Amino acid sequence: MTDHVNSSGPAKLSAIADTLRSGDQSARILAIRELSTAALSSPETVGPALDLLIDVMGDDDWVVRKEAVAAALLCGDKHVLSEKLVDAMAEPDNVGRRNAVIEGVMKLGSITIDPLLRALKQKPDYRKVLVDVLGTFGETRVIPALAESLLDEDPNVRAAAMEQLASFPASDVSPALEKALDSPDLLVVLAALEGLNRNQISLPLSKITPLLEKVVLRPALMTALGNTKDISALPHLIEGLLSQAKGAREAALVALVNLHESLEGDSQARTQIEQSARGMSELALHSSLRALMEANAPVRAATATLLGWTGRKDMVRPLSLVMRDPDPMVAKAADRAIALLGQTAAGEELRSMLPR
Amino acid sequence: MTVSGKNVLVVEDSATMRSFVVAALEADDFEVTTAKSGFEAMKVLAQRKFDLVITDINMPDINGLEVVRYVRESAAHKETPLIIISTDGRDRDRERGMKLGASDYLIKPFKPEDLISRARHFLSQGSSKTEH
Repeated sequence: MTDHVNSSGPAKLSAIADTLRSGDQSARILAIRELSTAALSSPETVGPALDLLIDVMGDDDWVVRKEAVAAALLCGDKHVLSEKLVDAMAEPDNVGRRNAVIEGVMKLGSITIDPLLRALKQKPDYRKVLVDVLGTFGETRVIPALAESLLDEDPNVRAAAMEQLASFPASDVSPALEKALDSPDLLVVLAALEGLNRNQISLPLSKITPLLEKVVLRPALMTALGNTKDISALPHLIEGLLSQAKGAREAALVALVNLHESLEGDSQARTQIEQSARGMSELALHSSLRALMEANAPVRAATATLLGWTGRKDMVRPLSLVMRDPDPMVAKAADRAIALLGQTAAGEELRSMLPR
Repeated sequence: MTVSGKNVLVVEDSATMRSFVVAALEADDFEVTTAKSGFEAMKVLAQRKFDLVITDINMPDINGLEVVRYVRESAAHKETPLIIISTDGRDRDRERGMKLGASDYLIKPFKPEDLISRARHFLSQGSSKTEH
């Protein structure tokens, strides 16, 4: 191990800096650890030690970069650390350093908000990364700065600002997200839709249908249709089951079941949804069966429910295959679907016994 | 040219951009696998092959340039076409990515059709080298 313990202050830092330039990864890591235990604890060396750590955050080896971030976070003076890390976000060339510094800022937490806001006010070239980080601490005081960034001339900054705004609870940002659905930026609209969907905000159908022609929005739009509590969304969801894109088809499956659940007091509307499942095309049925076997648990559960509404006895077999699904939500949905199909089948039996 | 069933790995840490790219590719019948970081991408790449890799540059831990290097140095993936997508259009980053072996470099934000035409181009070429 390289031992710089006996050197003093600046001489020690200089010796550590030399080791940090060595080609030996383990020597560099040990030098970083030495920096964190010795230099960061002394007020006279904390500044230069942090500069060294930020420098080594640009190391070619990601393990060394990660070690440097962990070491910097041990610094006792969090204000100095947050100022230095936020300044270092301006890194123009070294991708590794830029991202290690961002990781450090995110791990350091909300203490970095003031330096981040100050930096953003200067409107630097790297303002997208400032915006990317600002919303991650969940503090609502950054909302005005993010809202202002929605008007930035750079579309990537606008998209980043919307993605961050959309991560806040609906009560804080819902009107801004709804307004953003009129934006000409697809990424802004998508981020807003995903935020609204996360909060299960019910949008009027008139806000959703004009966007349906945009393919990249379709999965998010299917989810939004499922949250409308409006039976008029049904034809769009049935069409969604036939989408070429797997994501849109699966979102439509879940949305159909969500729409059904949200219309609890409206038995007529619920029957309409169930009847539409009975009229499902073979193509939609085929892709639903694939989803039942291959998709994630919420999609599998929704598909099982939908297949239960089809009234088709030939669905009992595929449903029985997921009765022992490792996810209890899926197994329960399959149980209910089979029971429902059983009732239908029993009904058909009774009808066939009636005199003609 | 049919791309049905062609497998694409999308490496992107932004949830919105990931949704955008996945929806664009799936609407064109690509099969898409996603990774939220370079580290996750390497785990996926260690297990299976892809017809195309699309990666962002700025990501925590292992960044996009390191993903490019890994792909080009790996016997299993060295011929796989790879497109970098980045908000950073500076010549130096583009040059660095291309020097490491990226097949193409697309600056965000891009239209879905731009991504699809590039993806189709490389799949029809069946090679990692760009002709742009």
